[in-house]
Amino acid sequence: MSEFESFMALQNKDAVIASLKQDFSDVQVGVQEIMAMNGVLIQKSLQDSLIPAPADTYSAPGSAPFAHEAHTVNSRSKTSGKILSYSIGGELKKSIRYKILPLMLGEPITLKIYSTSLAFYGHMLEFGTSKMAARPWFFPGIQQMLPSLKGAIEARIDEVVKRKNKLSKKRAVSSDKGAILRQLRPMIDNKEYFNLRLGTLTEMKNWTADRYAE
Amino acid sequence: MTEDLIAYLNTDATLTGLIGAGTACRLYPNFAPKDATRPYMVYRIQSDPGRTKGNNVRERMYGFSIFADTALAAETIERRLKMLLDKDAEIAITSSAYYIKASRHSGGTSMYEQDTRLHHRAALYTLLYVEK
Repeated sequence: MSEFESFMALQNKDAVIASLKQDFSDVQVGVQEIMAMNGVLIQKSLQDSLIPAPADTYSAPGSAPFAHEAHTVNSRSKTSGKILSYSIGGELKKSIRYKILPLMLGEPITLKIYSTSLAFYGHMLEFGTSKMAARPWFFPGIQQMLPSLKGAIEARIDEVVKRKNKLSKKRAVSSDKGAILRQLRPMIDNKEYFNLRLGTLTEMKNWTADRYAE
Repeated sequence: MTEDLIAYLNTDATLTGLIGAGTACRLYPNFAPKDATRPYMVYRIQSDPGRTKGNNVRERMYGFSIFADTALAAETIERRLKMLLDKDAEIAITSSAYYIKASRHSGGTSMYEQDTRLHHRAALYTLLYVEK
């Protein structure tokens, strides 16, 4: 019996790969932009969760701590006997920051939310101490914002894909939205590329290290 | 759900060997009584966003704080806790109301209290659960 054969070849392989690389780059930049925009929102949301209260009034255990408005305190210097005035209150609110970590090869795109040493007691409020019940303020605030962040990232990816499809009609390389999404979605769903995993940065670094160890 | 989770932890002989069993179990909600025997563990709902994912799966974050005289003692308890709760699989709780579909370690931190000289190990776990 004589053999018969057929073949299919992707003639413009290099152009297709270059096109996909450009898509990934566009998506990466887009995700970074969205994360930066949401960083501002998360920062504001956390600040807003610290409800102002009169000085020396404490929030109930288990609820977010009160933000005490900055107020002036006078005290007499032990050495000179002079009355010294200084301002206290509002440190935690002022200390909340966000930062997009520098993009490294193989590392996830990461938005870091943190409180500076200005409020050295931020983690004590979050986790409590042996003498004080916790008043979680950090993780509840962030967890509340996660769905909108995820939605915004997905919307941006869709936008990039749509734009690509519009452009691709004029080019030799055709770009199929379904094909691109099939390439991108598993990365989002598996959280291999877009790290929407919530946790402390230490835990995330361990997780990344585990990934390399595999 | 919290009661079911704590009951599940209480059934582990290794963990109760470290923090006590039955009525002597030093696993306290929110805050430990004054002069509690060390090491002890405190649990709390760290965050409850109250949203439902697909298939009625709900999400809740629990925080555990381990207080011990030595870093090693705190570490040992935390390691056991991680073995019990860091699973991407269903947790075998005996509850008439809930299934815990998965539980994941979501971070934590180590602290040292200068005034009490206690090592404090905080651990966070995100649980996905559904009502029966």
